[in-house]
Amino acid sequence: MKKIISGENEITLRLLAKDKLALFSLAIIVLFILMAIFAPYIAPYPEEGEGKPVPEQRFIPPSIEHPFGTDYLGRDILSRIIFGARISLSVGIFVVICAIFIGTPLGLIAGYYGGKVDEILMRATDVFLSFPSLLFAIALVASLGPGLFNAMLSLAITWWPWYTRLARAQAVSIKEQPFILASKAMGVSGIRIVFKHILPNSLTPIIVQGTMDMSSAILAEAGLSFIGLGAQAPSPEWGLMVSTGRIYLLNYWWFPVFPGLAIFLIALAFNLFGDCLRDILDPKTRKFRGITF
Amino acid sequence: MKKPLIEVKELNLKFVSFEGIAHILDNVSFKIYGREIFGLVGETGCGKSVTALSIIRLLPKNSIIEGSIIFDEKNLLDFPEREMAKIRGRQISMILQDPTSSLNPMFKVGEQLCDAIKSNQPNRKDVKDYALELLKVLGFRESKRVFNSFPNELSGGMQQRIAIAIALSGEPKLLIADEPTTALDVLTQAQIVALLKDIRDKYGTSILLITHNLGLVAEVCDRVGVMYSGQIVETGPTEEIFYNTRHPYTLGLLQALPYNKPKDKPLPVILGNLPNPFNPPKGCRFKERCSRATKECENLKPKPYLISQEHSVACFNPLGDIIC
Repeated sequence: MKKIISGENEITLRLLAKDKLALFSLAIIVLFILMAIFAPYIAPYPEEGEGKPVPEQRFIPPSIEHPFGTDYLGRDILSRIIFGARISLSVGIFVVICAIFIGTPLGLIAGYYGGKVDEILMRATDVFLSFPSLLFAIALVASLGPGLFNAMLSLAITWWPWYTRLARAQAVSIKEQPFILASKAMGVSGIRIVFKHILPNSLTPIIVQGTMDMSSAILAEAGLSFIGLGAQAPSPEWGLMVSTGRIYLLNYWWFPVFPGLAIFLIALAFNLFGDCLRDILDPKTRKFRGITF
Repeated sequence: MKKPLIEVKELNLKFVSFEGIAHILDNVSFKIYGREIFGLVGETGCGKSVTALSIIRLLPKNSIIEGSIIFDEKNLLDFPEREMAKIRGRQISMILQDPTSSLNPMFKVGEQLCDAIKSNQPNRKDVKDYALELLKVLGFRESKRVFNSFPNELSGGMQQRIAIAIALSGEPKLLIADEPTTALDVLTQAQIVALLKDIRDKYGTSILLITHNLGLVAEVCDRVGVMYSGQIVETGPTEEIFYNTRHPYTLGLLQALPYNKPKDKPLPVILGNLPNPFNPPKGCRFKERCSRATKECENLKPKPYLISQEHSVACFNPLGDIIC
């Protein structure tokens, strides 16, 4: 007997299970997450991954002992990439979560209450959005001092206004729904309406945006590290590895190429997954992906 | 004489917009007594829903309201927003027209019902049992299954009954039902109507029933107010309104009912449209559509006057004793 499908959650899961592209990108994401969690157990040379130089084995090309070769200090690049996953993923998660936690409540409050509150909050976000975000982040890191944490912090600071806008748009449309009037008529307070009734109903686009932003945040942080404002040596940060490896590109191509591939792969995976998620969660776009029951 | 539960006195309401000032309600007055179902009828756009929103004070921000709404010997219009929020749900609650969108789609109905009970009766411990009991009262046989369902898993009639359960969770004295059956099919309508009557009998709740369905009014209402263009043109006990009709508009509404009419003749209709609220006509607002209009109606505004103890009408040329 076929089980009766009930609730949006189950529909989403079922559609996800049928979408090959979504499964593929999710698999890559899960792979990177597992890599990050179990880095010391998976990496063939954990000590080198964390930065211990081995001068006698510099620039070994990809081989069985070192599948991705070794770098200019003789460290196994595969191990470093595995350890680097920890940094990149935590940057992505930290930046996106900070941005969501700061941006969403402000946007919901602005959208629901409207009027002066809305004006003040939205003009403030406009000020943040009027700078190119990466430039703004560079300026912030430069004043805070280079380093991984400062880079993460400044990315989070430049990122939240996008969520404020998104959440505001959601709140403005949801507050006109009859169930909001119904809850007002039952004497529910404004702040409770915002967080109990509007927030759960506006999460979908925020989650989608968050997934897609994971890739942008990872790329931005890799970019900051590349120009020397993010993670500092001997950290196995991918952007930093590309940056130090780029002068060896012609002679020892594997040094910059494999970290670059890692950045490319994770960014692609998050982007694809975000795309699929958006299409699946929106009933209107479901049919364009050819997904049916 | 009995004391009314709520008395709306000379309510005037205007909406300020870019196009000018819209005169929405004009001297609306009516009373609702305890254990009474009061029907407010009229065509779309005549101000029925807005009257309900004025009572519960959820009008849009661009509205100007004058008059008084006396509830429990206090004027609701004087209450600060914080006090009013305590009245809503506990003293006065409301159910809306479209049940399919008046529940939060993200939560199970049981959860929403329990939430309402918790906030309206904070001292109650047996919240879940009370919720299940309420569901039983509202005619759900499988109350446990319904309790654990999401709104989209229930039919429109079931959702409306849940909405009524939530509205009753604070044991309010007045329940405002804003066209509770419009979005439902005829059989479900009958269920909801029977339910409203039951609720009145069981809990002693007064009900303000807003509708454009005269059949519904005849079935459940004790007294009726007929609204036209923001004014109450005739009010009285249901039987008086139906069998001793005085206002030409009420008669028009009654004649437009398809019951007991010859099949070969077209139904009599009231020609024309509602007057523009931005520029209401001088004198009687119904004069342009009225067959009995005279010079008097042209410039003077008819004031409601009593023709019997309970029955009042606002017309210069009311109908005599006719049998509808």
